[in-house]
Amino acid sequence: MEYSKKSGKVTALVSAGAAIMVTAILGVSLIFTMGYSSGLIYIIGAPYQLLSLFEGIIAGILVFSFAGYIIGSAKRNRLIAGLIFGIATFFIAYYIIHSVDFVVPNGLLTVCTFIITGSFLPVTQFSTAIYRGRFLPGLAVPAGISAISIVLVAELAILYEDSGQSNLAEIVTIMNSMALILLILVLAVLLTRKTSRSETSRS
Amino acid sequence: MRIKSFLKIAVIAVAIMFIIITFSPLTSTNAVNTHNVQAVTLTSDSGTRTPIKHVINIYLENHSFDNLFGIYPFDNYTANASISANLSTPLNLLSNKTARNMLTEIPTGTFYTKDPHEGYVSYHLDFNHGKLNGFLNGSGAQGLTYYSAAQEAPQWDIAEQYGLADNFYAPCLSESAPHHLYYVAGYSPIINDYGPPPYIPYSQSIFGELSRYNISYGVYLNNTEYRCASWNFLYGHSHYSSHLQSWNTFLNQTANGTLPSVSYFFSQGTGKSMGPPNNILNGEMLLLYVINAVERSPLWNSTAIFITYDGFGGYYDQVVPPVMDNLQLGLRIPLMVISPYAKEDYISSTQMLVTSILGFIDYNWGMPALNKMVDDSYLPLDFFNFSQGRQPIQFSPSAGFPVPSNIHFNLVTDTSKDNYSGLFPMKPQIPLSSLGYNRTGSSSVNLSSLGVGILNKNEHGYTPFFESIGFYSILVVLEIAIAAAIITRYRRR
Repeated sequence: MEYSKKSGKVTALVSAGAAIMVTAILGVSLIFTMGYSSGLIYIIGAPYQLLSLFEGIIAGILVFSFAGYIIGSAKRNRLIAGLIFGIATFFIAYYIIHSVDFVVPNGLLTVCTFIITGSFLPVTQFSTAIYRGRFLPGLAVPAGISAISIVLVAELAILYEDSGQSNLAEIVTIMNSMALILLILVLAVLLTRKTSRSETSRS
Repeated sequence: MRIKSFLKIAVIAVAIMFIIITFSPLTSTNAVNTHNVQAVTLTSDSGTRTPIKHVINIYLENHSFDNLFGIYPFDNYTANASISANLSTPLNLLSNKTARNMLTEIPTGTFYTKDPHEGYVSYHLDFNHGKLNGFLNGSGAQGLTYYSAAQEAPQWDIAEQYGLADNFYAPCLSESAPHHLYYVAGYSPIINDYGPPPYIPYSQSIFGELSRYNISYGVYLNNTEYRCASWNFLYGHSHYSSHLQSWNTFLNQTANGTLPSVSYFFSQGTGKSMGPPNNILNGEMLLLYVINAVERSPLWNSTAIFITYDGFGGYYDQVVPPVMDNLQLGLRIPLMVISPYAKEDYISSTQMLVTSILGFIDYNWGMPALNKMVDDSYLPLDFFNFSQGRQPIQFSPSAGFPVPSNIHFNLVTDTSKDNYSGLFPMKPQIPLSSLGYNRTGSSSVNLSSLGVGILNKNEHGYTPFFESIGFYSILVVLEIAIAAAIITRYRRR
């Protein structure tokens, strides 16, 4: 009994960690994809922009992660609205950047990077949906997602700078591939459990 | 049963993706097909239109014209005021007191400034829609400076003895990478220091054209592993790696007369490129070393050296750059031309940019213009007097020139006591009164006026499918679809 309680806690922790990690990787891969696709990446890279850049990214990840958690995923409509919001933020950022011909001063850069992290809203909704936390307090999920995502973005930004701003395509490919593989794994695990349960109930 | 269905769907999805990827126009190899170009008749088979058999392009970094030649040829400390008073004066700060009063002269003994804020955005803020009054918001106060003979005497001497352009523009208002691409391909699919992708197909670069017409060329880097945009952004460059060589090879080939017809010598990534915040004396030392090596070599009689910078680097220049072929050019940068046929003390006011150098290569070897921009660019022909060659002017250490003993010299850091003002001006090789040509002028010849044809009519960047937005869109759609499937499964539990 004692053993199963302990292993239950461990399982809950592992699943919470996995959910947070999968979500963070998915969110960060989306940020980089949006930065790449919107052309935002063309105009960043100078050291004097770093503060404005990260102000927007950090604030955006925190705000949208918690917003995604608070809005939640209980209803399908909310999920769809979150997804539409995430897609809309991309187009808003795209429009702003292109309407000023890529001349985005630091203040506007903060706004753009903040907007571009809008994908964290549906991503956190997704995380809330797949993690039915009994062990971690609810707010730990968006907090964990935010913390890991900010560290990941910083790490990838350093890698990008170190490469002479030339490996963004590789970063986007790797991040998206990781996100895709992790999602497929989650789905596979889910399908396997479902199958084994139905087989158990049949026998 | 459900797993089987899922697997079926997955297999179908993968098959569809495979078909899309295989037949997508983005993955087509046409974009890099070296034979997919317009056929053009050569005007000469192996010879050249001029006595120039070797073109050497030296690429430095990040200075505007007014930053380096703002008060040329005025020297506060000169002992030869009578000579400098008779030298040709370019369009610079000497005739624009308002602009000069706005700028700060870099003090004697100082050979660097803080790096102006580099970037597409800051340079556009400097430019401010042509008002050129946004430097404090953009590149910063360090951009509002200019050097004098105390630091610039070696380059001023080069300009005095040979030729200097005062109407030569950076191709865009941005950082190094797009400038590099204009330098070797006459266009850029990127707007800032970023990428690739997009790449430029090797066939669309000057190197591709030289390969096509069997004209020898070399690309010289201090370290061939260095990621130089002029080389690494060219798609398919790895097939031509034998052309990528070291500085040592450049010096050996120069000394023994085996240098290829066209050479591109890059200073970037060495601390000797003159790019801020590096000490510019190191760049001048490198320049003097290389020039002396060429001047001493058997190649001298058939060589033209084009020295320029990869951008204005956030330093002020007073001239509003023009628009050419719908392209807003960047601020003026220096171009110096050294050759036995270069006119002495010559200031060229021909409106040019780096595509003019590409045009000169095409012109000299009888090739078609690399692309439309090259076709439209005026050629730097007015720099030359091909009827008379000259002996080289050596910049000797014994005369006080800071010539290093080795091209791989250690970087100089303490220059607080250095003042090279005494080196300028030099005694003209030919008395200025005896020159049989004007010491200022311009050229209105371009390849278009000569009707040589255009090699690449449809230049475009190349993005491999797996690095394209289309590919990433597919990945994101798949991610959303799988995430939706996961949520659906969870809800059913």
